[in-house]
Amino acid sequence: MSERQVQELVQALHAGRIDRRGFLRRAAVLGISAPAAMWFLRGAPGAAAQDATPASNFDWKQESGKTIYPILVEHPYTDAMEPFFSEFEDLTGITLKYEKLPETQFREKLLLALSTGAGTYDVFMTGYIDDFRYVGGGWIEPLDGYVADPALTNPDWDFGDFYESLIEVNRWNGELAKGVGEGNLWALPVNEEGYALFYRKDIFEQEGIEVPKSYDDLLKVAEQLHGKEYDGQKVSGFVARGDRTWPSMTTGYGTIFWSWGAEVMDPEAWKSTVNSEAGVAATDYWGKLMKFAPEGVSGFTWYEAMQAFMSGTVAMFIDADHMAGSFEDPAQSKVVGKVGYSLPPEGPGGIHTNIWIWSLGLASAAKEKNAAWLFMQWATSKKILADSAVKNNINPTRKSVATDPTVLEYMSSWGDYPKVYQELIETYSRVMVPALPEFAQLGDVWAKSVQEVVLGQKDAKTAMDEAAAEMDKVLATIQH
Amino acid sequence: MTHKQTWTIGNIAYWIGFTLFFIFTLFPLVWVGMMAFKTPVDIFAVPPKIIFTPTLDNFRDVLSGGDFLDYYRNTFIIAAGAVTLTLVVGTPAAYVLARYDFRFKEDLAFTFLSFRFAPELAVIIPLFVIFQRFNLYDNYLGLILIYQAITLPLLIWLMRGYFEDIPKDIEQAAKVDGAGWWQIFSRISIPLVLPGVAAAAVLAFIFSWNALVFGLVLGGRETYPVTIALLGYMGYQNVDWGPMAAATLITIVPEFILAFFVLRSLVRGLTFGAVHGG
Repeated sequence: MSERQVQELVQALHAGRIDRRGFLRRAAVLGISAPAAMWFLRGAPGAAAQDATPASNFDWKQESGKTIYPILVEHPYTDAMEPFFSEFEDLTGITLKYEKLPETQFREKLLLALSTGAGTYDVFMTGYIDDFRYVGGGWIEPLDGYVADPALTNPDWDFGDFYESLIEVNRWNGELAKGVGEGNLWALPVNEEGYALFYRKDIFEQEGIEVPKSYDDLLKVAEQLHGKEYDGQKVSGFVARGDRTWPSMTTGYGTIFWSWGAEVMDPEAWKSTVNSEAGVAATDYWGKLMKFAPEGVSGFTWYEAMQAFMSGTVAMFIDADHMAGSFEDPAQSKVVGKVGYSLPPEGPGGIHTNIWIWSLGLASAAKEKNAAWLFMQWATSKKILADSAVKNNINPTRKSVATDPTVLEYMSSWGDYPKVYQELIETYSRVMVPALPEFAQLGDVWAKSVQEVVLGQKDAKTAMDEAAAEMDKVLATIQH
Repeated sequence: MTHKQTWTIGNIAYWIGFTLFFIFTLFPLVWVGMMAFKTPVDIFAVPPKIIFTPTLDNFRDVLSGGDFLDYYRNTFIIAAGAVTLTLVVGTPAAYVLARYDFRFKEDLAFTFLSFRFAPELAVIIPLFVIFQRFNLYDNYLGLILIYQAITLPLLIWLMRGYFEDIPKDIEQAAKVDGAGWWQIFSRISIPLVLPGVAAAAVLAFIFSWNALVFGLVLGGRETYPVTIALLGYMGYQNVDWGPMAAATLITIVPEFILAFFVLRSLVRGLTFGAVHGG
C-alpha cells in the first residue's frame, strides 16, 4: 500500500468521483481496513462536507435563489435520487419543486403541460420516442450548447464518460423516419434497456443443452423443453410479449424481426416494409416459436410475460435485459440464481435489438434554464448514477458506473449479466424504430397482424401484406 | 319484508339470484381485503390461498413511507371543501329551481347537469392554462373550485327533487303566518329535507373522493389526491399488490363509514329524488 494511492482515493471521494462505500471498497483492495480508511477520511481536510465540495472552481451557486420544477416518473432512478435532493439544494441554493407520477399519468400530464407552452416544468424525464414528438413541437431544448459551455458545465461532470452509443440515441436531426444519431443532443441518458435472451440455467444443465446461438437452435430447444416438468412444474418452451400493442413489436418479436435484417419502413419511398422477404420470414418463424409459449400469450404484456418467467413455468424469454433486477429479487421471483443471461441468437441479418433509454430533457418553455441545467448535471453525475444503479436503476448509462466496484458487486450473483448488457449497449442495441411521433399507431397496426399469425388465423405473407397496406394508410396521413 | 315468508319457486329463485349478485359484487372487495393481509408469496400462490397467516407488513409499508398519507390528507381537504362549498351554493339553487318559476329555468337546470356529463378531458386543456395563469394550479382552492363540476350538479338535482317533495301547503301556511322566503327556506324547508341533504352531501363526497383526472392535471405535488398514490403502486417492472390492497382498504374506510350512516336516505335520494327531479 502506498500513501499516494490512498491520497488519490481520498481526493477522488472529495471530487465526487466515488462515494463513501466505493472509497472503503477500493481502500480494502489496497489492504487498508475500514477503520483505518475512515481515519484517512476524518484526517483529510474538508472531510465533513465531502460530497458537496467540488474539486474544481466550478460555481455551483451561480443560480442561487431560483426555483425549478422537474417532473419525474415513478422509477428506481427517481426513488434513488430523491433522498439526495436536499444535498442539491444545499450545493446550489436552488429550490426544487418536483412532481413524481406513475408512467402513464406522467406522460399524459407532461404532454399537456408541454403542448400548452405554460412552462410548468423545467426538466422532465423522456425517451427518444417521446422526443420525436417534443422536437417536432419545439418543446424540448437542444443541449450541445450547455454541454460545451465551461461556465455552465463542471469539467468533473465528464460528458465523455457516457456511452457514445447512448448519446447517439438521443441525437436526432429532425428528419422524419431517419436521422437518429445525427444533429442536436436532446436529452441526457439515465437508464438503458436492451433486449437479451433469458434462459433457465438449471434446466439447460439438467438436459445438457447449450445456449442457442442461432434461431434454429432456439426453436429446437423450445420444442424439446415444452411441456416437460421441472421442480414439479410444467414449463413452456418460450415466452415474450404477445398482446396486440406496439411494445410487443419492439421487444421479443422485434429482436427477431430486425435480426432477420428486416426494416419497419423505407423512409425514401415512405412505405412500410414489414412485408419484405425478411420480414415475412421472421414473422413466419415467430409464429412457429410462439406455439411453445404459455396459454394466453396473446394477452401478455411485459408484466404477464415477466411473471410467467419468474414463476418458474417458462424455459426461455426474450425481453428487456434489466428485468434481471426482478428475476434476482427473492421477494418477487422463484428463479433467483437460476437464470442465465445471453445475447439473443444470431439471425440471418446478425444480432439487432431495439433500445430504450430514460433520459432527462430540458423544456424550451422553462423559465430558469440555467438552473435547470445545473440540476440535470447533478442528476446525471457519476455519484448519483452510481448510487441509483445499486438501487435497481439499471442499466447504467456511464462507463464509469458500469465498472464501478459497488455496481459490479450488486450484480455479482447474476452470472453473465454485466457482460451481456454492456455488449448490447456497445454493439447490438440501437434505435430500430423509425423516427416518427406516430410510431405507436404504426406499431399497433403491425402488432394486430403479427398476432393473427401467432393465432394461426393467417399465414405470415398474407398478414404482413395486410399490415403493410394498413401502415401505408397511416403513413399517408403524415406530412414529410 | 314484514309478511310471512313463503317458499314459492319464484321466491327461491329471487333469493338465489340475490345471493349470486351479492357474491358477485362483494367478491372483489373480499379479494382485495384478503390480499391486503397476505405476503407476496401468498398473493401469487396457485391455487389461491383462502387460509393463510395474515401479516400487517403491507399496512406498515403504506403508512410508513411514500406519498400515501400526504395525498390522503389532500383528498380529504379537497373533498370536504368541495362538498361544503357545494352545500352553501347548491342548496339555495336547488330550492329556487324547485319552487320558483322564471324564464330559462329548465335551461339553467340542464346547464348544471351538463357539468356532470361533459367529459372532463374535453375541458381540461383550457382549464390547465387558466389555472396556471391565475395561480390556481397545485392549490387547494383551485381544486375545490373545479370539483364543483363533480359535486354541484349532483347536489342540485338531488336536492331539487327533495324540495319538490315537500307539500306546498306547509310553506303556504308559513307564508300566511308572515314568514319571508328566507325564513321559510331556513326554518321550514331545510329541516324537512335534512336527511336528503345528508345523503346528497355524502354522495358528493364519495364522488369527489374517487375523482382522478382533475386532481392529476390541475393538482401538483402539494395537492395530488389519494387516487394517484394508489396508481403509484403499479410501479416500475412490478405491481405492489399487497401495499396497493392495503392502501385501497384504508382509502375506502371513510366512504364506508359515511355510506353506512346514510344508507337509508341515500337509497331514497337516488330513487325518489331523482325521479321527481327529472
